[in-house]
Amino acid sequence: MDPKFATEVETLSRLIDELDYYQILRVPKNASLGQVRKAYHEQSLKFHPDRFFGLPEGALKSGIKKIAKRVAEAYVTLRDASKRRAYDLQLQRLQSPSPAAPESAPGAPAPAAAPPATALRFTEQTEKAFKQEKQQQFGKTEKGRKLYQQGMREFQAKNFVAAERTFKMALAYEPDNELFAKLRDEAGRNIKTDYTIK
Amino acid sequence: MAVEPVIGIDLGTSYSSVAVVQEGEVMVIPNEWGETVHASVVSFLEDGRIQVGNDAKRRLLTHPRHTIYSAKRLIGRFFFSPEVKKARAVCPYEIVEGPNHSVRIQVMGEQLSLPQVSALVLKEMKEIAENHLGCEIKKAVVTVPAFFNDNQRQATNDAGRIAGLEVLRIINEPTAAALAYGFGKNVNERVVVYDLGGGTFDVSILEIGDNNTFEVLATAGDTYLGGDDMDMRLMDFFADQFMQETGINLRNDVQALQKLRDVAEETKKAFSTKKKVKVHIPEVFTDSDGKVYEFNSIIDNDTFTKLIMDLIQRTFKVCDEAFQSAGFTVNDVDGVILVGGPTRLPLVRDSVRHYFSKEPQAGVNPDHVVAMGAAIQGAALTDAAAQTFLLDVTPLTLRLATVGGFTEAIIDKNTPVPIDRTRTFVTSRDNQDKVRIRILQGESNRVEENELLGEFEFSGFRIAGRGEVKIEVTFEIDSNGIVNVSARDPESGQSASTRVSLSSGLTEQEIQQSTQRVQSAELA
Repeated sequence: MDPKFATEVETLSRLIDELDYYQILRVPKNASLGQVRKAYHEQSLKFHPDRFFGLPEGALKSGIKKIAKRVAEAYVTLRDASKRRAYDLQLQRLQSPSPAAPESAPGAPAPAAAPPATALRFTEQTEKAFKQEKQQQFGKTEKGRKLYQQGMREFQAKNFVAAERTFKMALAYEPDNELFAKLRDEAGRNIKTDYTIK
Repeated sequence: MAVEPVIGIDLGTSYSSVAVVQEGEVMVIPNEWGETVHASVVSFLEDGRIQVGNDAKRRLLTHPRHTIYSAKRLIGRFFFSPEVKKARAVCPYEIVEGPNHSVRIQVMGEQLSLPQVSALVLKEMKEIAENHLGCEIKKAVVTVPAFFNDNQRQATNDAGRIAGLEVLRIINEPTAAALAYGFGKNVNERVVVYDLGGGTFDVSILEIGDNNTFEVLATAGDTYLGGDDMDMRLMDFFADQFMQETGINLRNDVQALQKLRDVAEETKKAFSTKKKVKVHIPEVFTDSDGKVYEFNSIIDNDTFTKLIMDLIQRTFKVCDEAFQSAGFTVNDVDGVILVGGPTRLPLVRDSVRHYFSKEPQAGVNPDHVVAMGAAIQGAALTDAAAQTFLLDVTPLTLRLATVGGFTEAIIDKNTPVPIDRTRTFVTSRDNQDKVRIRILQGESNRVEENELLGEFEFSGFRIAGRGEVKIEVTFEIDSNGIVNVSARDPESGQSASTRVSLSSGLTEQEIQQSTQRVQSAELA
């Protein structure tokens, strides 16, 4: 075995928790699906255990396996549009630790306090945070979501009076939903415009 | 020293074949009669010898109770499974229950496990290769249907060991077919493998890319749909006709049924080239007065089509599923590869052409591609100068049993391997001192609708109220497709792990005993 490769495996497997999926696959953050797939093939050719089938078990082989598993994990996350969005969101939060998200339940740890070993990986927390984010946007109660959709329809039909009323009702179910508040104000401003024209 | 040859074995429901890669060329190995396709049939002779292959198949008629066929339909299954019940209803040999709900076959006062039966077929393949290559063969890659679960794969692996072979890898049949198709071609293509075999239907979508990398994008299948089902439809058709003509139910007569099964298979095959098939059985039945009945029938292509069309339509439902999983449509496909004997039927070819709006690839022998692909993968694993590199996926979702009979998906099907995934769970009862971790495989969120792979107990964590103690469970699927599960208490750092092993399978001791039995068996 090439000693340079052995050193690479040793270093990479030791530092792998400090690399995000883009760094592991060696692609830019805006890489296309095709680039991601190609990178997965390249990194697999380099680190897949099948390429070292006859290599006896030991530190080198476990290092290779560790890298290969992380390469597959990176690929599985980045090839799926919705998983990738959730993951990107997690990376963003990590880079700019905003004041703890207002929606988090009292006592729940802020996202920035996540254990560093998994901070750069797609975990069940990544999924949960993404779902929360979506719910925050479109409503976390069934009534809220319904009213949000109704309000959006009224907004698009330029029926601003009805839209403002609907978003107000939605806010009764979810008082701290910023999106609902924003839409209510927006609809309200549009109503005023109507009056001046009149 | 030359590279030790690794053979590739297509262990089929109805037929098996064996291939090898030598000096960069892949070839299917013939037996001494020049045959390259061998019936997966094992027959036990009165003198204690065992016959395997096409000769054994001929004994189906004369010795139906001592001749085992379609063992693959039973391997790695529990006795109570619907597939086993179905087989018990139609098979003339005796299927009995063994320890831990396993399946055994009772022949001449001896109980055989399914891996033991399959081992006899594998041993025959090994010997064909040894005779032809003139050296001892110790290593093999064996193929299984894509939708075989871990229990069925382990059982196949055991069969290899019993036959005296180190199974380097178990690969999926459609994947093997794609390897054989793309071998040495240097193409950049997206291909679909439509694999309709004797007992199973599989479909796989692969991307063949740079550096001859074969990436499996999605796989789907039906483990109980194949050419045998077509034979069954024809058998029923013939039996009904005979019943109408004579009032005699041939279904109650083992000998007559076997004759019908033979004729049904021949009729199906004849439809590959003919539009109308004449059937004649001179002595199908002898009544208690000694009167001999004959059976005559003429069946045309339209009638045959009506009999089996729903089976073919079922294959396209499976194709839809595969496309959905891969995230694209029929239009994104560059080539369609047909595998398995029944794909010779014009009806199947026309339906495939229609569904994919594409002419299926010609020049690929549907009987040989799978064994060839297995041999290619054998070379890829052992030969540094190998020309192919396979990136495979896990075919079924790996699950964990939670509370109330529900399961939680941990690693989704069609996820590339090797991979691991960690989930955190909390205790469900106050003062809980141990958790039972049950690992399942399948696509249902209900425990009973999945296959149980294994279970283990984890204890030694802090005792507290329900929901207060966290347990991290890590699931790993390695590149051999083997599942490892470990549990860890993040507070104490204490951990336990297990290699998930077959709960209805053979113990190490049973494997050793079977190995001796099979090694000493005299093949006729």
